[in-house]
Amino acid sequence: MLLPLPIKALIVCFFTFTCCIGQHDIENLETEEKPKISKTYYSYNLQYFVPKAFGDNALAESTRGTGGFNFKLQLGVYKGFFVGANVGAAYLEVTNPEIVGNYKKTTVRNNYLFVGYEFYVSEKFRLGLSLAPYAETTYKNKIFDAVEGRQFDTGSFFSVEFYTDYKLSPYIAVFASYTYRNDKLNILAPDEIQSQFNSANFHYVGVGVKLCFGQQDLISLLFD
Amino acid sequence: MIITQPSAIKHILVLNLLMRTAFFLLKLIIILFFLGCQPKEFEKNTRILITGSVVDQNNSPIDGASIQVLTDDEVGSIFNIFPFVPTANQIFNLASTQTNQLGEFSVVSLLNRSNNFIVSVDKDDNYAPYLFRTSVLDYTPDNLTFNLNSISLKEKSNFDLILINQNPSSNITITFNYEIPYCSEIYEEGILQEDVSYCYPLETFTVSLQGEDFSRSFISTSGSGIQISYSINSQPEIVETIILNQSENVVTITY
Repeated sequence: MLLPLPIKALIVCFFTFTCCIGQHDIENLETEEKPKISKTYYSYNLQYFVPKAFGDNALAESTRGTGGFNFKLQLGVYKGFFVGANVGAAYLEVTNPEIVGNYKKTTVRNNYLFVGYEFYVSEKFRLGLSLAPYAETTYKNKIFDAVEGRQFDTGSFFSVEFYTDYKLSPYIAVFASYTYRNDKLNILAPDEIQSQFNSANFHYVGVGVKLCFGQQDLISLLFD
Repeated sequence: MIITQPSAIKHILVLNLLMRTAFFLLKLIIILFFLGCQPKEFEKNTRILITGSVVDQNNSPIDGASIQVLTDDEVGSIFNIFPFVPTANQIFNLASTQTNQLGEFSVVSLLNRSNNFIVSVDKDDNYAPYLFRTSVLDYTPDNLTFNLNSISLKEKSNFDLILINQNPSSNITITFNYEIPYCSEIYEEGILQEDVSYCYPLETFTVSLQGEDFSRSFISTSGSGIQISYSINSQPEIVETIILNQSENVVTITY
């Protein structure tokens, strides 16, 4: 995975930390009284989404989104504010190779750290907004000729996600989301077409399942 | 109590050593095999453009000519240390398109650092194919663009040579040159290398016969001239020039 070392370290720390507190939380579940509506201390999200490239760029004119997935860890920091880490990928099929080159499929890495805020609009419905201000990405382009070939494009992106989730139980929720993602690409191309390769934009429309644990945010937990 | 002979211990140790060596070599071969199966990786973060136009001999644009961008590299593996292991060719089709009504084309391609980068221009069986070849191992064109300018495809033309014998004791010697319908231009860092390029090369045909009929078909280029020299019964040479101005041409000589 082509991520800078500090980001990798952060993701590893985040996963380790949430696993540790998750264990603590599971132990407490048996003894504690079940909460009516819990503030999410942390959650695991598994999401399927359909990517769509759009805008005036080469990717939008030459690809079709076939699907994608995200695995997300989200940790409540203070009240509705949270931080998290996302690992995933979007899959594209090249429909017009004359524009981007003669390859068949592209896998867009979707690994980033994010911050956000969520709040309850009713007892079971919650709205949330998260922002990944900067992350690095890789596009893996696959060629299936007589011999398999591949090529990588790199870049950076920011993304904004809106979601709403519905709690089926105190620990399980389903959610629907919309993500806007804007990529700045490092591709070098002839002057005439360079502007087509400078950026890419995506809509991701997704659904998923969220496993929620805990009742308190991190700061409250630390200072109580 | 087990008594083991010192020679038996030696045998066991040697056998053990041999088995360890064999396992090590087997692992090495498996690792090298899988390393050899790694997919080819093209130039990161790079796109190139191939542009140009295609016309016929009369400078009229050719619509629907097929353009293909290929790399063709001979690759070996660690096993090529053995002479009986053949090398393989790695061919990638990096881009393909067709000319528009004005005969123009423009196609985006990935860059494969290859010694044999080819742009193939082909209309159909009626036209001679054209190949642009260069090495991009260390060369990157200006503005990442290969501009092939105007490529002229010559139409193919068939001609049949028919020799009819009327006297079994007669003999004939005939010779002529004709254009091969094929053009391959080799460029080095953007400069045409004429000494190694073959654009409509001339092929020489010669035959000597006595008392027998002969016929053969040739494919050449439309509009090209063929100068046929022949001598019957060692008489002075006769020279005739034929212009291939039809798709089918027949040359008949009686001796």
